[in-house]
Amino acid sequence: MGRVTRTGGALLAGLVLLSAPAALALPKYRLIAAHQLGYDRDDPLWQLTRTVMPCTTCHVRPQGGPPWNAFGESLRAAFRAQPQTSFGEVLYAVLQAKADADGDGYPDALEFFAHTLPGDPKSRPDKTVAQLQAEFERAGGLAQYAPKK
Amino acid sequence: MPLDRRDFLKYSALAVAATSGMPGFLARAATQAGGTRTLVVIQLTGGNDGLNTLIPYSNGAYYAARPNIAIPKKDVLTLTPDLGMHPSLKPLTRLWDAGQLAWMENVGYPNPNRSHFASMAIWHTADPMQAQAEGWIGRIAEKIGDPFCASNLGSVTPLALRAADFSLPSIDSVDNFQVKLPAGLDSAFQAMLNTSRSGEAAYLQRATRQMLANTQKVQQNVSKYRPGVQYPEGRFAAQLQDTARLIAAGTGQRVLYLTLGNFDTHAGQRAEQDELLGQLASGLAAFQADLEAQGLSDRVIVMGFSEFGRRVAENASAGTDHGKGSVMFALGRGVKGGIHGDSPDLENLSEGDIQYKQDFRGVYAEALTKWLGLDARDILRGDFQGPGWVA
Repeated sequence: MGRVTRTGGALLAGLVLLSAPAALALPKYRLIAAHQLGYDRDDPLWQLTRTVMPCTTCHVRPQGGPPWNAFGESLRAAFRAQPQTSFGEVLYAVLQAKADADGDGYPDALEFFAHTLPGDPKSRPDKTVAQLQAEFERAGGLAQYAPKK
Repeated sequence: MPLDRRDFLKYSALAVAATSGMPGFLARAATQAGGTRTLVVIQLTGGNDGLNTLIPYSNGAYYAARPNIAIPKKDVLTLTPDLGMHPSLKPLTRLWDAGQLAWMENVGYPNPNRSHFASMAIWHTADPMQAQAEGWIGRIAEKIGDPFCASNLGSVTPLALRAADFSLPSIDSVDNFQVKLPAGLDSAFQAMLNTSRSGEAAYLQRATRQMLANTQKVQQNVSKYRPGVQYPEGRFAAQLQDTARLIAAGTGQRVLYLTLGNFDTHAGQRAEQDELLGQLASGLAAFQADLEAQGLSDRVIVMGFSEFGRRVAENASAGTDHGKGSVMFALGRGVKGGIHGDSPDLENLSEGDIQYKQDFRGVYAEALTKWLGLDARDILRGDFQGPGWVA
């Protein structure tokens, strides 16, 4: 089969299939949170790695499911308190509370800013709270984590 | 000029044949003509919560199991003394009042599977044993020998529309269902098509020319469509409008398939499902009104499903987890409106879930036999009793 045939075949495949982007199956809450917190901003391939916004952001086990860690439980409690509120709004409300779910001294919002895990005390930013807080405010503060439209 | 369906089929088939390597099968397809009736299948991906869709509002067990997320009785759109619709489904009340909306209760299958992937595959293949690799709509295409008898509106063809040796086409956007060459390549492309070829190269060259001509014809016919109503904003409504355009253009598909996703409401269910059901209802109400305006409403029915329902009791995140039986819906002039089946028995659960009473294959069977005039036994590979939802 010659080059023309291969070209024609490729063309026809394109015509028939038109466009078929691969569907990447990821839990939707991870997708929403990553977008809302800007984790997808500089890395278009972030979904291909489990190190960006891993399941252990909220869950104890790397594969997700019960049980939840301290930050996950704070989200669950917020859902119970506001059962008609969307995930993005609940996440924002929890961050606005300026709580430190895992008790490591860093508020949850600062941990997200530093890309550490807010529900795991062993996962802590390298910088001091004061340094991180100053950088966080310069970057836009809590408002940058408001739900995206 | 009306679209010549036979030519359209023949040339589209030829192009598919060129990519799938089965010209024998597709040669037969060119001689097949479709019926005039269309079945529109709506897939609610993620596991739609049936109990908050068709609500047993007279049942105290429902409210006891869902202290945070139950639909308050005052908000329920009453249908019967025991059942009512979610308030976001209000755009469908006109169809209910007209006897054109049917709800099927307690729909499921033996040995339910709580995995999204496995359960969706069961609904797609119509085989709870998961022994069949091809989809039930793909089997329609095989049986009637028509590789263009159904299309998916979307970017990726679901398993339901895959046959043993080929996939039915996906149309991401009707407007894009044409060849758009990059600027400056037109003359080179035409030169390639006009060069004398022989053998397989000539076959592909001919198929390409014919495909170009036919996508052009589709666009010409689709361009004549004038919407009878204003559709709501959003991708799902746009896909429903594309569905109406295809039907109005006379492209002849027997089955058109659409998906509305994100029904996996593990947390904050009310916010999520309320919005999704609103999208579903407003889109379908516009679609039905459009078909009526086009004079096509006698030729189309809609059937909706989800891969499973959700647990009866809410979880600790104001959501619900994967369950078993759920509801299906259907609408259109060809539907026998009303509630088909009993209300779920919330005092007699199976591992905390509703027990299914109606096998979904019975619902499929009625669509195949009574609406599309096909042999359901042959396509579903068994006899299944339906609830009598097709008029």
